[in-house]
Amino acid sequence: MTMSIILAVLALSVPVIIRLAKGRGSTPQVEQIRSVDLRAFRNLVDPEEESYLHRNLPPAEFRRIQRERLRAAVEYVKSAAFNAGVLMRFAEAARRSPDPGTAEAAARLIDNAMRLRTYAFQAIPKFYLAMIFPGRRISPARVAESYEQMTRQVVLLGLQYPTGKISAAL
Amino acid sequence: MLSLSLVWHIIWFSRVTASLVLFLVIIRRQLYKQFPLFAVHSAWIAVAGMAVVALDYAPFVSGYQYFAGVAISSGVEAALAFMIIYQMFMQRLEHYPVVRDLGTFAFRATTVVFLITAVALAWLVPGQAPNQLFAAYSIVQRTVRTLQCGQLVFLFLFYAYFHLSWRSRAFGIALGLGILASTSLAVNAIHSQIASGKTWTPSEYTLESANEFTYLLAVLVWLSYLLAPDQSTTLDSGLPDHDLETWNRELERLLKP
Repeated sequence: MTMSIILAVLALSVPVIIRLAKGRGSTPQVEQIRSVDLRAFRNLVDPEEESYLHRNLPPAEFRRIQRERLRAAVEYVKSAAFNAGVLMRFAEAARRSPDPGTAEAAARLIDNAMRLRTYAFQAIPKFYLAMIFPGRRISPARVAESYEQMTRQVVLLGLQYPTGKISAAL
Repeated sequence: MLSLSLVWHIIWFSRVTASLVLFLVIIRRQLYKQFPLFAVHSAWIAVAGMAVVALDYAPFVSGYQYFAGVAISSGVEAALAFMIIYQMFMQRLEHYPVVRDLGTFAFRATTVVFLITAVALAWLVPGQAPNQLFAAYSIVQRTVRTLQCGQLVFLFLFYAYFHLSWRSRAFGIALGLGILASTSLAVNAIHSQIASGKTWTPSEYTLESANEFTYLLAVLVWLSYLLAPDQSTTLDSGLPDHDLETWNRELERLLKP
């Protein structure tokens, strides 16, 4: 009975929470975009950098440092995924543009933003797993590539549609 | 003071009347073109609701015949609800090819997981009922509602994670289904633990009144969303001004990494 009631409460509360959340921040703002330093992120997940630290640090120290680095990498991925979400809401509006070029650029941006959120969804558990087992290899390169591609698409969209200061904020 | 039975009947009649109004609104506003399956669902809950009321008052109808009527009404309603949830999800994914495969796979996986959970619950906690027929009906209903709740939770979370836009009417339909499935599941779970015999106790009447009331609430939610103008929950306007200089800087940055 308890499990059924928990599921029932979930089914009822999830749409309400989503509706309330949407109502609070229905218009995305450029200020919402979080700063993401791709170079720093790449450095944090670079296997060579990790090997170098492994070779030169005592094991306990390496594990502590590696956890810190992975924690920072998770924050970067979360920020990139968050930015993708904000951009998608801008691009949804542009997708309805009567100009086919703008609509196409917006559709591509949405595709890339979705791809990035998919990668982020897969990468974050891997990072946490690597925090528990330092030394475990992860390959989050696709997140960085996808983020770069998304940034480029924002620029392309901006040439055809007013997207303001978004790319500068990325 | 009103008896519990009378309260239950008043809510039941109100719900059937509201279902009929809902169906008439769908016909009058030609919303069946936009939501054909939901139109069939509304027609069914209106017609089946009236038929069950008629069965309740017909002197020649036995208890088992009435029960069969209720079971058919619920069974068809549940099948239509499954079809609505599936169609709602798949139609929206058509607009987002990047997540179509992932979404389809995840939806199917969620369905299988919740089906296994529901069957395991039915097996491990069958609950109490006056006879085997009622027990079987109760178990099937609980399994169906568990599955629907699971699918709806997945649907809402998937849409939220990928920021998929909801048309307000589609959201209203999903919300109403969520209210209906979740309350029915909770009531069924509690009822299976307190059911005593062939005659209803005051607590069973209270529980069924709550169930009917939330069914009425779901119908009113559908009505309110269908009567309101359809809107998208994503951004429609209010984009910041174009800033050419920033874009030029950005292009330079990309050309010279």
